[in-house]
Amino acid sequence: MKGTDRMIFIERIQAALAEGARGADGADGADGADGADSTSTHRVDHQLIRRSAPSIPGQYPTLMSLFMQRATAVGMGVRSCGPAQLSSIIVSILQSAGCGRVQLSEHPLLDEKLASTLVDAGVQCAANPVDLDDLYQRVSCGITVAQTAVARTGSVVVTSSGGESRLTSLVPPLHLVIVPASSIVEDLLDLAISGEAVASPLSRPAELPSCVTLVTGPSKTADIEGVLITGVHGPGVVEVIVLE
Amino acid sequence: MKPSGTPISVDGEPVLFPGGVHDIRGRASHFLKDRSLQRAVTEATTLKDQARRDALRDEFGDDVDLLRESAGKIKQHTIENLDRYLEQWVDAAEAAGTRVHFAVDSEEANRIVVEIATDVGARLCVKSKSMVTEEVHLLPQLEAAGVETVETDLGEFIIQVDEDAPSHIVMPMIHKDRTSVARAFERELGAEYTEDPERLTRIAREHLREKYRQADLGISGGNFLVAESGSVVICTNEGNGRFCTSAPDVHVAVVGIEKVIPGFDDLSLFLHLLARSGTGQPLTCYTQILTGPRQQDEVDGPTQMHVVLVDAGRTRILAKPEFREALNCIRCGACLNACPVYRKATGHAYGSVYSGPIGAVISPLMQGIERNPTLPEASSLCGACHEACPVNIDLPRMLVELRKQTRRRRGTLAERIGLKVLGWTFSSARLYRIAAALMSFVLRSLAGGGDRLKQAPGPFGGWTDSRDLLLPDRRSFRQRWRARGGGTR
Repeated sequence: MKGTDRMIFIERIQAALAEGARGADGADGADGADGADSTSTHRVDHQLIRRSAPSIPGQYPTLMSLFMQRATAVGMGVRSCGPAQLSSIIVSILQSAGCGRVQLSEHPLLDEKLASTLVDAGVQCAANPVDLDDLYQRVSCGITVAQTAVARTGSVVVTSSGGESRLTSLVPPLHLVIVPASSIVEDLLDLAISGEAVASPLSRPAELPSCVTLVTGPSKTADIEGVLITGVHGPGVVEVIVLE
Repeated sequence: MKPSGTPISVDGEPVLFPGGVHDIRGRASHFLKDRSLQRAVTEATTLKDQARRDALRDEFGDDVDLLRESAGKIKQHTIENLDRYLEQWVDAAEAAGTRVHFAVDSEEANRIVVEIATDVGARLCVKSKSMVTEEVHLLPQLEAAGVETVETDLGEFIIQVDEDAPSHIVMPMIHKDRTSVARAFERELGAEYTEDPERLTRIAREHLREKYRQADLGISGGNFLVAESGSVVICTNEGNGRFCTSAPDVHVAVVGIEKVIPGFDDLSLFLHLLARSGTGQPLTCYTQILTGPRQQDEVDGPTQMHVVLVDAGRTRILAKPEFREALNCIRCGACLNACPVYRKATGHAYGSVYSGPIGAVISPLMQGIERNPTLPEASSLCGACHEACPVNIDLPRMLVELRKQTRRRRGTLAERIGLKVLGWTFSSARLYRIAAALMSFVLRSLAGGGDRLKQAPGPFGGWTDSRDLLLPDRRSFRQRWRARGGGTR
């Protein structure tokens, strides 16, 4: 540890809090000092956050269609399919995007069988673990599996756990991500709560992977005169396949 | 390439770090003369302000204000118990392997980051957008220590290349146009001249891709610190933030102590409000929740994660209960976009990294009011900032409070007598009626037959320098009210 000692740093904060509390008594309770009580607790009003949501919580077809609608609205390509069509859909996305070389992340859904289907279709699969030269210079699509997705915001949640590389979903210009339909939750709030069906990465704070990323659209900027440009540093195209 | 935040000057004074006493009035008059700047800033802020209203209303309907109040209360609670939540955050972060450092002021924050960079032998640093690193003026220190540091957010990159300074919390180059970008890229990067934003973006992308790969240090800010897990949450759009926190071997996050929130369910509320208030998006494209360095079974990510917790004047605010709610700010920029004064004066007039209404409150509080005596006057107190704030900060109340404390002058004898007379007039119905009739007569005579007064006499002349005074109707409101048969109370 560098800089000031932790105890001294915290004591400075405590001194400022105490000084403020004294000031508040003297100044006849200024507006800003409501509830200056070191033992008070708080609770987020879950009901207030949820009640304006457009879907019926927990109803699977509704949740999936809400996710698809919202993910489309933020600029991602979205489609759904069953397990039998997965590899052919992936091939068709890659072919129409002109991708010749992909990086598959290490996930049971992205198995040898899929790899050989891709090779048969003329798509090369980069080896794991990720080779950086290859990823930056030759790979044109990273394929990953989302741990969960948030219907209300149209977000796909990718994590660094289970052998997923942080860079596979970031470096190539196209990110293709598979979302198991059963993993979709309604609200951001549900990421914090451990549900029965969905293993949310945020519901067990002590076991978090080092990086959880909510992806809500392709990389974009409007810095130059407000003109919207996609694909600044991250992928300019995100294709989502909801797996039923 | 010079580090960003290199002071460019206005009237011989550096833009962001003016020495001595800063007076916004001179600066504002300077920028008011720049027509294209006025047009650009007004247009961009008006669009974002409307986008915020639409995004919040479309999603939350009539609940918007309840959600704002709720978010404000959570922040208030956290700030009132800042010591406790910060300790909880530090314990959890250290348990996850993050090395936490404590900086009481800007100098210490800079020293810590430079020491980390030196320890790991860093030569090249990639940096994502962070207000607190601008605030403590980190980049010149890193460069002085021999660490080449590159801003990677497109706006901040352009500002660094062109040796300019950011002028908005969220849209740093709101004051620049594409021509200046084209010239800077041609001059500094040797790029082919183009004014096409798409091609300019490509040039920056290619330039920075190489940097990500070579960099041995990544620096970011943090939008939230989640106490229950020890996480740093970063909200970005371009993807450069993901590169800076994932590609280099060492990641340093520099974060203000007021960013802590209790848990992930709180985070969900703040995330719902932050991007909608800032840009009108449901969420920024990337919301990263970073908890410690790469774990044993993970394939990439930094092997060291450091967090520098920065006080730098925040405990000064904490010690003043009437200003504590200023620490609730989540830096969305909504109050800047809504503010009629920001739109005209523009960001650089404030002379501080934090501009607009929130800047007018926190800059004097953090740097000392004696250095910024006129900033609290940079407001018409219209209340638009309060209404726009996603955590419901009562900025107008604090601006008035600060004005009381500056009390720069008592006013001339004439002003004091004038206000006294005005006071008597408004407290007597008879006196008011007579004064109104007299005023109407005087104005009418001065205007000499027209419907407006173009030049007011003597000391009142200043008012008509920039606008005409429309004459009141020949009959007073009271007369018309009676004529319509209205009653009295």
